[in-house]
Amino acid sequence: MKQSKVYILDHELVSPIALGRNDIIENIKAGTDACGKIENFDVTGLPFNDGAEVRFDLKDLLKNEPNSIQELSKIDRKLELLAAAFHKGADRFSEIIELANPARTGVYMGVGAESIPLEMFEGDVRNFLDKKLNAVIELISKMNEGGSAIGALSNPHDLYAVYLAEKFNAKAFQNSILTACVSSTQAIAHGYDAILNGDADVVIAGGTDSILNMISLISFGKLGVIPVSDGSIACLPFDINRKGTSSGEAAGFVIMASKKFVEENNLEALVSICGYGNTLDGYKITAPDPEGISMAKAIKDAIAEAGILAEEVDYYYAHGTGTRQNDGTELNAMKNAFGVSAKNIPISSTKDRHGHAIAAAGVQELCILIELMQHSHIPKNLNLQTPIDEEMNLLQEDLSKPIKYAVKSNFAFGGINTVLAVKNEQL
Amino acid sequence: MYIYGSEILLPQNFNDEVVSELKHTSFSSGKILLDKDHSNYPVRSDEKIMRQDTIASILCTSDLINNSPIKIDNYDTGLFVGSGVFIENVEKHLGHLTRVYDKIKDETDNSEKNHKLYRISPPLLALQTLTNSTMSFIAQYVGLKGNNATYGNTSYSGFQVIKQALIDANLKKKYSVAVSSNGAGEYSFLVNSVHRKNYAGWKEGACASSLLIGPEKDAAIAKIHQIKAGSNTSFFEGGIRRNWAELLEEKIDVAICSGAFTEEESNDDLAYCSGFVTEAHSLFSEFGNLGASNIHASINKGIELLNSGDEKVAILDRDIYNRETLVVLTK
Repeated sequence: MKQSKVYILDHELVSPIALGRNDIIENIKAGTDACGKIENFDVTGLPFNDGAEVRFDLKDLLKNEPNSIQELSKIDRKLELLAAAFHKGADRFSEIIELANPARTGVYMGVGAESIPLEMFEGDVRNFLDKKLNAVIELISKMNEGGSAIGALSNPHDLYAVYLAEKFNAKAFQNSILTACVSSTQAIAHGYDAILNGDADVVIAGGTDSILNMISLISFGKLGVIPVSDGSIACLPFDINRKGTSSGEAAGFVIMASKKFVEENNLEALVSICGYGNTLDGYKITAPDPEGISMAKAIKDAIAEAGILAEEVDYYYAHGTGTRQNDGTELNAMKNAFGVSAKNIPISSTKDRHGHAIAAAGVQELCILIELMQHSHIPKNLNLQTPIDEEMNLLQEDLSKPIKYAVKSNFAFGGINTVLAVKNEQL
Repeated sequence: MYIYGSEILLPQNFNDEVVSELKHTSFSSGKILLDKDHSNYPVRSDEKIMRQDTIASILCTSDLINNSPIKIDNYDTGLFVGSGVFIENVEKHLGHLTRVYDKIKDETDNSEKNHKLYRISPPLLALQTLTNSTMSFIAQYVGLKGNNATYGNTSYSGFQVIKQALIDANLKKKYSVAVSSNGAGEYSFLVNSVHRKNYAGWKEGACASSLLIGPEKDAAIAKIHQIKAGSNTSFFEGGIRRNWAELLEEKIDVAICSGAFTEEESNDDLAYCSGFVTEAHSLFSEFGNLGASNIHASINKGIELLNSGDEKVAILDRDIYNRETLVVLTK
């Protein structure tokens, strides 16, 4: 039984595989693999040196930003990526900005954990240490002069939502979601709620994150989710030899709108969000519930809210991190949720191409899904050689077929499961 | 929409903390006293990766659910957490990294430097600063498994958790727990004080609070009569702008305001509110700025005022980006 849906009119993405939405499909079809040795900072001596970096030159995209944003972007990768994503599509967004009522336009942004790039300030740090001072405190104190409203080093996580809200003149609300790997997926889910609840006509929902800095890389590496670099392929989702994920970075957002807004302005939607599921394992901070009960419930909730049957799902776009813990649990949850239909649904992850962008993972993959739907293309698991489950339809070849309904899953450290049901509005 | 229960742990011990020795900055910081004998106090292996406000949030939410007049379904009950700054203690969370730099200061080989940095870094750093750890630990210890999100990290997140609980009550007829968890501390001071030219008299307090919110009138202790956010988008102008009066849609006699970081700001807030209400309150003098818990603490106080005879209370907050919010409570 069909409930309600919210339309997506446009999207933009800066990712290791795409500088802007127009690059996405070409690079997916070409099998572009952005994972490789990290070049943005010196990783020699670390046991892991693989990652998927955004290697495009972003400087030109930010040239019209005020000095404070340009300066902060040099040390705040999340802001740099987000600003680049906005400017990449700014010309297109002006139409929406003109049509939308600012008081009925809101922002939801998924944002990753703060990470002070200490490696960029080693000289200062040593200088403070020589004076027997608390180096981190003194460094931030030195960088941040009072009254500036934009800190030169550390800022509240809301910075990114308010930045985007200022660009889109979004006055209704500016929310920041900080739920690790599902942050931007939840941003889209709760943006959907806000529109259905009548709190906004238009919501800009997305995320920005980068774990390609020394502290994050070490932190995630020590948790065992990033594999030791040994010259072999780092990220192998759903492969029996998988050993971890590839660290990544991205920023992107979708422009969501109510049915009324779309109809009144005679706009054409690309896709719609027609349901979501969002659950907690309540199991252990360090591991997902191995039975995947809450994970399965999130998938079931999403398709139930969308009013579709398991056999109507044309594509399951997996979280598929390539870690030992995630992939098996995800397939079990999928079997539980889809029942006998599970083995017929094409499954793939694209993290083997663009790495894991953590808080921006969900929006990165939704932006890719929108393009896949527009081009009737389902990508294979790029590095899959030996599937962990022969019964399931883990794609080893690309498919060319229309996608009417897709399910997009993301799961987070700490046991959080967020799943979107997405409908192609062009079919 | 209705509130069925409210639990709060407020800061009790205030001390002056020196932040920068070079710049001679300091502020007053309040901590939460935790009941280690609480039946749901975390086990040692979890406790060592938790912030104090995370533990306090678990205790509050446990008490909220245990004392709830409504029987809730764990799979169907939402959990929305507004969380403050995640580095509770710079020395505890980041001190090891700077000590590493101290140890490698004579090292000129980058490879050796990075190797030592990696080797000395603690294994649980990512967990200690995980932004959703409060929410995940509450789920683990209390059992809530429904719709969820962690919002943060200014006081605006305290508004959004209540708003999302209301959305769930309205769209899905579901109950939710809206939690606020504020760590305060020196890093919070550093992040927030950049927005001010003058931070003499700066005061912040750690706090945790939980509210049970839902759609049915039965067993409610208060009604959320109105909820509204302001429409400022000049986020980067700095300073303070007060437009709370514009959010009110009706005459209300009592208001509780928050958002001030100094006594001077608090006094100015109270003076401004006196222009449109007959009775203006602020918890600042007692507890300082409670960040993500500002609104929850005011709601807790507002429920007290309703119980002592007031008909309607306006809860007003302003975050560091001058985003103003209003929650109106009635009996």
